[in-house]
Amino acid sequence: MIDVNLIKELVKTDFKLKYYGSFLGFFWSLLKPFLMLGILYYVFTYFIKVQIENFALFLLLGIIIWNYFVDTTYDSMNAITGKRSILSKTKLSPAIIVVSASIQPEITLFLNLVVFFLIFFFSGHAIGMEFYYFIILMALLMLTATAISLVLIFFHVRFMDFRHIWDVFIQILFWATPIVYNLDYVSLNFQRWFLLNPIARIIVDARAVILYNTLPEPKQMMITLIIVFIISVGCYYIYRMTRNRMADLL
Amino acid sequence: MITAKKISKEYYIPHIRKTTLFEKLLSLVREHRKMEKFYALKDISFEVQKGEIFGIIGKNGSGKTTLLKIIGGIIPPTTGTVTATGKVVPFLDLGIGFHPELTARENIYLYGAIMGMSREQITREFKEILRFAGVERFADMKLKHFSAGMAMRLAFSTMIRTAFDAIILDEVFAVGDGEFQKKCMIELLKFKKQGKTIIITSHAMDPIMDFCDRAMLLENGTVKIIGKPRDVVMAYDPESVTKRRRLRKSADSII
Repeated sequence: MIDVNLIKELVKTDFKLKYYGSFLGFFWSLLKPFLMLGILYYVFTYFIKVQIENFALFLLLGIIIWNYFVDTTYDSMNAITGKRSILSKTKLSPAIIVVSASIQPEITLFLNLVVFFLIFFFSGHAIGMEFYYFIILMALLMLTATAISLVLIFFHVRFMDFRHIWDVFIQILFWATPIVYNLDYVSLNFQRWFLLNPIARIIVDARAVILYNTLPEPKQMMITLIIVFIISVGCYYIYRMTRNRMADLL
Repeated sequence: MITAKKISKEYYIPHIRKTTLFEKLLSLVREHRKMEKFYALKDISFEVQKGEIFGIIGKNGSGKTTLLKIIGGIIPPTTGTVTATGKVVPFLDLGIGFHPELTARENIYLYGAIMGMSREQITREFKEILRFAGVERFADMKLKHFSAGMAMRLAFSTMIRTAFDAIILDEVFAVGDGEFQKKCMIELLKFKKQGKTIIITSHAMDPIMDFCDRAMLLENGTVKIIGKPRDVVMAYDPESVTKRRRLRKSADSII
């Protein structure tokens, strides 16, 4: 049972408290991917000369997707810490907290994509019939990020230093995901390992659809679906197993 | 009706607590340290009838709050079962989720939502919540400008608007002044009349003897005695029973 009213109230409250007194606060969080783009674009065009067509748009799409994933994981962990007193004294499930914590990154993702498409259309590009697959990809992205967060919160509650470990892991994953580079830069032997990572698959496919107007092969689409399915079900299962233990630890 | 059958809750106390993953990994390499088993609750069984006010007393650390959390479904027991008919709502603290930077109105909507109320339901009860707390004029004032007592009253009056069949109240008698406490008690008695089950804990013995139908004394996680409130209080704090008797006698002699 999902209590929609509760999620709404939690999201509204978090929004008010986070950006209270700083109207610009929210715009800063929207600006983040564009600032990252500026840095990475500069480094990878002037110092390390990457030869990729439409590199700015290529990079921006990857960064927006990546940022959403990272924000969801951190916001979920922060929400659990912030709502500790509520969780330890009411029947509220941690899953509700994670779902409501993921709404704000989702709004940011949406608004970032709006800006992305504005730039995209203004620079003379167009989307094709393949666009529907992009929407599916975004849904899969949200599912993956939320499912992974459901597991992370347990480790976050159990181990005080988990955050630092996650910081390092995120850095590794950032460079192990084709965000600033193309999959062609990876040797063929390694590609299959790279493509076990659902975020990498989503980024690669999203670029194919938006920038090159091509759909991935049906077989590859199936593999993406299966990987996301396994991760979501697996994470939910782990969450169910760790839930009682989490209640004791809170 | 709420039935608790042979509830036990174990905790493991490591001699050195490993709260970081780093420590945990180190301990895997080193020899395995023994954990000490600790029973927060041991073999607790009792029944609370529909429409009954059931008091739980005991010293700090006797397991009261742990037991309430288990009955309220917040944490699972290690062994044993709790069965309840209807919706059980635990109120273990007042103003959970209250935020000083939000106004009274915003806090009521948030708190109500946490307690499982719908938006329409809160809107319908909104005026009554403010009235009961005696803060009608301050609906749009930030909570940080409220006095502690006002905030607690607001929390209590929001809480009792929740729909429930049974409530669990932990130490909520300490709320507000004498007049407000009386109002709370009247409200609880109304619930009882409606056939709702109430479980309360308190360190004040008078409300236990005044309002409870039955009471239970916990000692080191075990049930010491269940029975008439007066007998149970007698086993825990005989002083308060004799003091009451003295007071009544002197009152009688004055009359």
